[in-house]
Amino acid sequence: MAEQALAGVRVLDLTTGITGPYCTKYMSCFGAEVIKVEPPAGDPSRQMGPFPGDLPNPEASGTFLYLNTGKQSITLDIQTNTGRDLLLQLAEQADVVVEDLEPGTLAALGLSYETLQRMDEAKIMVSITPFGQTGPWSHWKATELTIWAASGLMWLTGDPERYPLKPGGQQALHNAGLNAFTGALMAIYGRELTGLGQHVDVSAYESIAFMMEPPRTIEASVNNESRARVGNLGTLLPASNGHVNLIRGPNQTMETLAEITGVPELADERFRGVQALTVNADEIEALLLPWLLEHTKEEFYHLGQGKGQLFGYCANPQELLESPHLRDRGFFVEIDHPVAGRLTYPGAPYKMSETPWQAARAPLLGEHNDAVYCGRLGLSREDLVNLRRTGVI
Amino acid sequence: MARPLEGIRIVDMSRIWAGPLGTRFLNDMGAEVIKIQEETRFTRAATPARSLLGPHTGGADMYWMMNEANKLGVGLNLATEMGQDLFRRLIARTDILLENFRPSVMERFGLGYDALLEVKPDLIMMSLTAMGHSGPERMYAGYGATIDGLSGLAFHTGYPGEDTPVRTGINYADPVTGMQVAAALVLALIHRKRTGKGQYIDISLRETIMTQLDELFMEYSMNNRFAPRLGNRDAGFAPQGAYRVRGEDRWIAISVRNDREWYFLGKLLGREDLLQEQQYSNMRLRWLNHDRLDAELNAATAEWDGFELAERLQEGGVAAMPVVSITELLSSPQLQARGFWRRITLADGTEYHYMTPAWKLSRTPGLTGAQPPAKFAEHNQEVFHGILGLSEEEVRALEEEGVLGVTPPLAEESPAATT
Repeated sequence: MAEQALAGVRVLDLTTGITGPYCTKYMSCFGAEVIKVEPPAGDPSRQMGPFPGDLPNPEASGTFLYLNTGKQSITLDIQTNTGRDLLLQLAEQADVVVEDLEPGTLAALGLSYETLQRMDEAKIMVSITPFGQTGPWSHWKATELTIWAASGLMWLTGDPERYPLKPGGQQALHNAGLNAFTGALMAIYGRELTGLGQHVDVSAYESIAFMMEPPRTIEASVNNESRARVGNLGTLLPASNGHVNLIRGPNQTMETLAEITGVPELADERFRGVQALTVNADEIEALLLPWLLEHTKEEFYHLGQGKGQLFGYCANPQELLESPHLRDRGFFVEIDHPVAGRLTYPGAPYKMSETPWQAARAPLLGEHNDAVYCGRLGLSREDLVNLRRTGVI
Repeated sequence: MARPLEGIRIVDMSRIWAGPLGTRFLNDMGAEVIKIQEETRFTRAATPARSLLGPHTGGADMYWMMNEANKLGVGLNLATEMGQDLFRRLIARTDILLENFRPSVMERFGLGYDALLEVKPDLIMMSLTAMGHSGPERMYAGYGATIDGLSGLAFHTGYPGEDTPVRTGINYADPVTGMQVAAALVLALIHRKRTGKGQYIDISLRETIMTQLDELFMEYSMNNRFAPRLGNRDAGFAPQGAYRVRGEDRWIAISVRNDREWYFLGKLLGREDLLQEQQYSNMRLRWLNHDRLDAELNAATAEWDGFELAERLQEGGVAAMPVVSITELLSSPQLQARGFWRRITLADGTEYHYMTPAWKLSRTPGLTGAQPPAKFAEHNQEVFHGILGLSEEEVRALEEEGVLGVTPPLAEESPAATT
């Protein structure tokens, strides 16, 4: 096996939930050693599910299993005096500390960025918060939904006749974690060059705000105009087994549509151009529907793509898990876990020829207490028993 | 050192949003980015050439305005042997190459990764496509709007209890992939710094989105069924949703994460009566009776100003935000305090907002000013004379021969961000 890109980088991960763990999952998959510090009750994502057979079990939550692949888990109550002392000892041994507490909280516990820098100037701290470490909203609360609302992206999504929608899943929380990973890599590369670490201040709000479609930003900036949401606008149409995705694209699309469906009117002059397609969306739909309802969404997709057209369809998870294309690329990976069993997980975001992505199973709660506290910090087994008894770990 | 990627040179052949955003982040951190504005029949339809004819002539130029600032622009015709030779000479002095064609296009030019390693043995090269460079659908095209469907995201998005999938209102896969492009390239730089080795990276729009849909795939993997489409709801928080506030089509997003916050919300809205009701007395009951509760809340919030209500709720520690318009995003006091927006002024005086990366690095803040995006072939001399050492006359002669472009190819009508 080739050496991984982040081999030898030691990460102390104080984050819970989705955002921070998604960031440190990437660190782990690209070779860093990640020690995950969980509160004695466990990361709340252990309660989120989904669970096999719908039986809640903190060792079998799908969210936790996916987001924490390859990490080591130790438990620690950082609110106790002993816990704080151990936290500092753990930080001494780390190259990168990743945290997601409210601004100022970690400093109050004795582990500010300045403290970390006094230990060693090479150390990096990554702080992930909803709105950043500074500014009038730095102590405001946020969730997946309210971040979408604040970023202007929710303004653009959903049916114009109804309330605006956020995308499915936890996209904002994942994006913020991905963005934290990218920022952390800039700091790690800088450290490779200069030997100096730094503080990486990541705002989830900004992570989503920068995803605003550039024309919308510029229209707003130059013309003071905020285009309203338009919904699917005739781009998702029903086929026999789900929805196809028709794009409002170049003229050729309409010619191909006419050819595939045998409805020559679709190639008419009045459907040419993006605006014409929007205006005539209902008419196009009426012409297409009879053919679509007798064909599958996959037929539409492959016929169009075979002619070089940007046709698509709405895939469900089963279709994706069984997709010959994704199987050929080895996108999904199987990971065995002592409690959750053998399951298929989404795999690498990209394929690197020299420094491949790898995912080992997620840890059990406190699985690495012995290895880290005794092996790394030099505590005795007796100390460990005491820490457990007093609820510190 | 204010910019950690100072001294890194990137040749960028990507288009529209995902790729240009990725190299933009590296440019912000100090890398020099040379944008090849190629002129061939393979790429003509997807070249955002209208952007070079002036502002506001169509959607494509606005992607250009946001993602091509501070980069160098050259016109190079890769369909000519001389063009390919110049490209190889440029790659010999380049650290990173990003290309965004369908598979096999670079090979057809004789510019595949193996061929380029002969002139630059430690080259980092990335191919960005919709589907990836292997597999039966590798030649298929896609862009942000079709990836919503092809990744499973649209299937998972929609109003609760309804069968119609909903697309995001943006080309969502592009900015997400842009972040991944930047991360992958810096990983490769870290590896090259340590080992002296370059590498090849194959990235697809579809897979970067699928890595963020774990709840959908884990649910199917565990229980052979589809995770429910929850709209704006979340099984952990109730109530959660977008509620009406004063003004046409104005809404506020509110998430109640525990009973304390529920009491705060009910009192603030003057609806103590709801707090007395058994059916809303804990998280599980509020979740079960969500439709009824939403109707009550819509009535209770409708007369409030969204910003004022959000502020009052935040005082009580409740996560709340108005669903802001784009102009309101630009005037956000938080983004202003953080210096998120910068301004760029074009030659014609047009001034616009330009965003900075969503991370702040204490020692290496990176980008300090923003130059307008390059015009087509604006930097032919700077690159082919300045970097490759051709004489100025030679560069002019190559421009006359059509090896180096001087006028943008006319873009045919095409969707944005075609990959």
